[in-house]
Amino acid sequence: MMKRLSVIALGLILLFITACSNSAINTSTNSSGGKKEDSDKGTIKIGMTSAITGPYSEYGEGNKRGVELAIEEWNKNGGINGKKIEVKILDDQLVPDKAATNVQQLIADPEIVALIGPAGSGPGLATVPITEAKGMVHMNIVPQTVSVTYPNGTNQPPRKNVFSFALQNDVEANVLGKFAGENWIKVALLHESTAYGKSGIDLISEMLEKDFSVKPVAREEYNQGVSDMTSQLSKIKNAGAEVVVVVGLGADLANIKKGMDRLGLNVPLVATNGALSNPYVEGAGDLVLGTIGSMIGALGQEPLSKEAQKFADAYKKKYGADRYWGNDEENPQLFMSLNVANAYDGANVLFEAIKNAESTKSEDIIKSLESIKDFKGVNATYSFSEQQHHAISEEALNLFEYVKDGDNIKLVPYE
Amino acid sequence: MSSLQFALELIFTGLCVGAVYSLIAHGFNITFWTTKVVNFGHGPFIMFCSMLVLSFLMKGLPWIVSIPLGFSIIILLGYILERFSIRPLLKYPTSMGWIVSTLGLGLFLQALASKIWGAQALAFPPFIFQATDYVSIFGIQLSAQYLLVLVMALVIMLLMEVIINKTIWGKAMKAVAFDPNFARVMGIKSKMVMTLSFMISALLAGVAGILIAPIYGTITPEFGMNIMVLGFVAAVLGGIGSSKGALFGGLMLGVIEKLVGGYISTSAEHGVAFLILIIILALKPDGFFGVKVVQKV
Amino acid sequence: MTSSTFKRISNSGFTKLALFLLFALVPFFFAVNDVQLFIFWGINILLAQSINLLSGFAGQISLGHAAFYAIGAYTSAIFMTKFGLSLVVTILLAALLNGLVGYLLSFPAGRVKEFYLAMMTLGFGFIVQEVAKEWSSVTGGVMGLSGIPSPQLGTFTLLGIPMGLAYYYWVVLVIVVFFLWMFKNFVQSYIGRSFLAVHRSELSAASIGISPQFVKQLAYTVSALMAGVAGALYAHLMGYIGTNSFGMMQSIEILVMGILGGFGTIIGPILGAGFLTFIPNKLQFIQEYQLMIYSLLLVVSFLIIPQGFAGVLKLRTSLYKNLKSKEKSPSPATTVVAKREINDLDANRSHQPILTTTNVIKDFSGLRALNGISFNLYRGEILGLIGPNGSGKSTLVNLISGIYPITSGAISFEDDDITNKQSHLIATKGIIRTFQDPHNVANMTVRENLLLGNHRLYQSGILSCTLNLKRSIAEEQEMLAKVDQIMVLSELAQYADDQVGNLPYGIQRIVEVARAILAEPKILLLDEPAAGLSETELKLLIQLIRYVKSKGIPVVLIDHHMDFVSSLVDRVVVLDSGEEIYTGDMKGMKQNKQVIEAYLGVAKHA
Repeated sequence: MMKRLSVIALGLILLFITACSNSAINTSTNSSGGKKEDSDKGTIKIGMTSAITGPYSEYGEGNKRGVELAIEEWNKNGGINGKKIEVKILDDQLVPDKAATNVQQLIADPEIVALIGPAGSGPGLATVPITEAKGMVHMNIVPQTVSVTYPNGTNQPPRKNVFSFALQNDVEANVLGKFAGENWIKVALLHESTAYGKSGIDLISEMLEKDFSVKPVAREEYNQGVSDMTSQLSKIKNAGAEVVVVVGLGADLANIKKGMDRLGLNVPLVATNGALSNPYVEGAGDLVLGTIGSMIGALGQEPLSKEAQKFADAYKKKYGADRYWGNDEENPQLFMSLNVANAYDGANVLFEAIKNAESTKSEDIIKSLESIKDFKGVNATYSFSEQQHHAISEEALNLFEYVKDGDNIKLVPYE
Repeated sequence: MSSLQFALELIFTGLCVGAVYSLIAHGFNITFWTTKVVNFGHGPFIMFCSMLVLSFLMKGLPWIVSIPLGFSIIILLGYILERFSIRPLLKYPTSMGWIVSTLGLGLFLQALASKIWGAQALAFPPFIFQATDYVSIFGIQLSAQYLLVLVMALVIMLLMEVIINKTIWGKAMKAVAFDPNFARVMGIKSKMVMTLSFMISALLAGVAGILIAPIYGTITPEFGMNIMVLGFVAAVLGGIGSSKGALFGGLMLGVIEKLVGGYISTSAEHGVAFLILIIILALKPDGFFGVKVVQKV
Repeated sequence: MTSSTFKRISNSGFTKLALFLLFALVPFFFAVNDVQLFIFWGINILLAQSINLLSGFAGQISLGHAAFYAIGAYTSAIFMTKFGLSLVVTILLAALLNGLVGYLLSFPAGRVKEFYLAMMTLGFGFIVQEVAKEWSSVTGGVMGLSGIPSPQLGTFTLLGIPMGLAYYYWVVLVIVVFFLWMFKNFVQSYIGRSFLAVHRSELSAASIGISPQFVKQLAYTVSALMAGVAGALYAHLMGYIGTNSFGMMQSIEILVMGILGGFGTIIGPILGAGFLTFIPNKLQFIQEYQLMIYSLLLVVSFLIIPQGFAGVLKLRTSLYKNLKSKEKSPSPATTVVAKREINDLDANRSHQPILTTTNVIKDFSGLRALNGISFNLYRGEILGLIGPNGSGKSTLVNLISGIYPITSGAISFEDDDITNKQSHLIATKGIIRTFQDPHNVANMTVRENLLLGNHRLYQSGILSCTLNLKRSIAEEQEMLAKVDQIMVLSELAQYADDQVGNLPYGIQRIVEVARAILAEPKILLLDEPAAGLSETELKLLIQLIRYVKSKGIPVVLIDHHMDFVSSLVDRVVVLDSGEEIYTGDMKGMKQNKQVIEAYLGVAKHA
């Protein structure tokens, strides 16, 4: 009985080894490539994992819209070399485990030729090694952590397959650090206790000490979503700070600003892009005056560039002036650069590269991406090379400040 | 700023922050009295009520209409919670299923809120006081809204003490907590008392919501879940089921947090607070005001 | 398919082998991402069983289980990336370190119960997460730890062999199957049963010699150990770990897996883990409604299946090992021997006291419950302890068995001073008691409850039970034989496989007395054993007590049922309002004025 069973089992095993071309055994032992050559069905398929639901869906959903807008435009104009573009979107809720499983699932689909990555540093760091091992093109949209694209620092070569459209931490930190170093001596640093906050402040602190010989008078941290910062701000006040530099989100910045006001800490607040988001303006009200924040400047230009205007029109036509668009009916808010326009640009550049490569092989797309020069997008003008896989540089960033305009508060480029 | 003033600053803000935890902890006590069950969806209840009120306000309704509307919906949710995810499970006291079902409803409210209002932080308008209103005590400026919460936490504690000790309702609750079947024999509608306790608890979540939301300034669907955990800690420190304990536990937690943040490190704030929780519970297994349950042989 | 056929089929070795082979074939059937899900399932099974052991069996709820998961993941990852150790070593290190942490946690956690325990473990979870966040030089802090060798990236080797995902799957499969086997052996041993006894009531567990503290320490240690292995497997699957993966929601998800599957069973948590692994992933197609549906499932599933999947499928894990043939019932000969022994009643009486109380005083917050009680219990006798309600009879038994501390006085047993010793230590010495209301474990069968009585007789070590070593199996069979014998004697054989909670009250009493007899006591204390018994049950009880006496075991009997008492006892001690008013034989008592006044008079009017 047992003997017969084991013969049957062995037979089954052999059968499945030979029959299942799509099984884990085959794909894990074969190298990638090869399988995509015959995808001439008339479509080009890309995959995407992002935080469609959950607490960070503001980014994921925005990214999704950006990608879909780009695909619609390309398909209206005949697709890529006559082939329509399709996207398969999976939800990871910004959970690293889910993102990794999703990426495996997308990679397993032989038709998918490139990936658009998750909406946070945690899932970003969890997924890039997987795509890197497979050599699949990976467009990094949101994660600001440098090591997603440059695992060994920006002066070392990037991961071959990862191209970043995110506002990298180091870029933001350089702009803020330079600004603070040039203007103040007693600088206090405050950051949220996340990868984003910690690595950002590290970079700023390093720059202040190295380039300006400024040693920060205080360095404090807080947890996202905390309501009271008295301990932190009291210490900063006691240290005699002339400016508070913060890496954090808008809602928390509003509480920081309110706390500063209550404690009589009347010094400028210089902060990362969160300072230019709606939650900050709405949460802090009139107190936002005097706050300076850094941001991709593209949507703050008057008039908008041709590409930005085209993007704004397309978005408004499809979705209307919704919460991503912001409160101003006429102009999109700056923050769209970080949750919709970045994905839109990423998708456009990817499609352009596939078009130029006239191939969907990973190696060809990478080669084609690295030869992209002066491609005009919404957020920036993109140029990549073998050494440079990120595109948002310090030039693309501007400092903005809140000023009083009659009864209203206006956001204007910092002079 | 002198060191004394710094210390006072920390203690006073600690009391204020702690008042928020107390306010939440009060909400746990009522249901614990009647069913020995604690609503793990209490945090999302807080969030949902403030979101509701906010959306009514944005529709142009005045406060006086928005708040009762929000409260009615949240009380209804409390009813639904008891009716559909507590009562069927009380038959299986050892399954601990109520943790999952109450949490499930909480997660559902979170998901629903982000579907309706998005995951982005929404500004909550000032209620009663302006965000920048403050009161000076010993030269320390305390946010008026925080003080309001502190007063509210006190008032609720007094109210609870009176209800549980002086009214027929309190006695009914005690009886139901002791033995629902026995209480039924005594002519108390056990089921109704249980349902009511969940509705009142939901109302307390609503009250906490509209008082706390202006302090945070902005609310997200996540808001609520995080502070709920600290509310739990407060309730446990004081001794669950005790109103005095809820107040005391909350205030103590707040002050510990701020003192640790001020003198040790702000990054250790939570870690140390929880370490203290473990130590205190190891020394006083029923919290400070908890009733020591006598072993029944 | 009825549950019994299902059980028979699922229990047969052939089915298990077939299932194992089927699972071994998974990498041939499924694509990479699905294989990854299967690996997650395996990891989640370990987590679910880990919480099952702690919360489902030992009754210690945990809301911080992700902390153990984290410690396992970080330990294994750090030792592999920084010191280049092999998975074989790092997984062991992760398990050992976790076991140690679990053991240490059991000390503060053992002191608190229920909701307080939930909060303490929640706090523990937060602390571990905070440490991982702040200790960035070792854990990578909030940036997480990258570059862990992983089969997903082709950077993982085991014993020098490079491993792809499919091979890793097989490694996980073998580990999970091995752990499930050990887990099954563990819970089906006397140790596993002692967990459930502590879960039901620490008091009653202690009364048969189970140390609640030891059970908790063991539960935390083993549970942490399993979670540590799961953590290590997770770290190497992902290749990257960050602190966000080990937060409160992860802890709750682990708990949900256990509860949803059904605590206290083996199959249940496996199904629960599977549900939570696959369902969220397969809910992808509903996109933005995913979280809503998922959370609704959590709510609704408990309305429909309040006891988890195991409850629906009527799966119950039996808690003993009967590895020899099932048909083995005691031969009629032993029964006859047992019955004959009963006739030999007074053979063992002697005038040597085995238990002595000297001037025992007990105050309850100012009220004196017992005032200077001194009596001897002699070998081989049955001593009646009688008196009106509230006279202090039960209190005296509670003092002897160590449940309440004594205010003053002394109790000695066989020349040992046992005054104020811990309850389970007193029971271990051989002083076994029953309670006024039966303290059986309701969700265990009669046979399993009776086996609990044998607890103090077991000699096998934990490892021996877990690995099913021959000695432990033989011992278990020996105990089962003893149980069978008592079941015949107490006419419980027909209920052997019924859960005690479903049986009539009288039967439950008999079960408790039988359980106490199985502990082979040196002294048996029976607190109102006859209350609520029918005529036939009463006869049975008398027969059992005679059997005990025939073994030379002295009995202290509390009861109001005068005919019942007088038919059994050799001597009586009469208490009234905490005072000892008479000691002597029944005849003398009936003539004693004080007794008639205090007790019989009252009884006649009542």
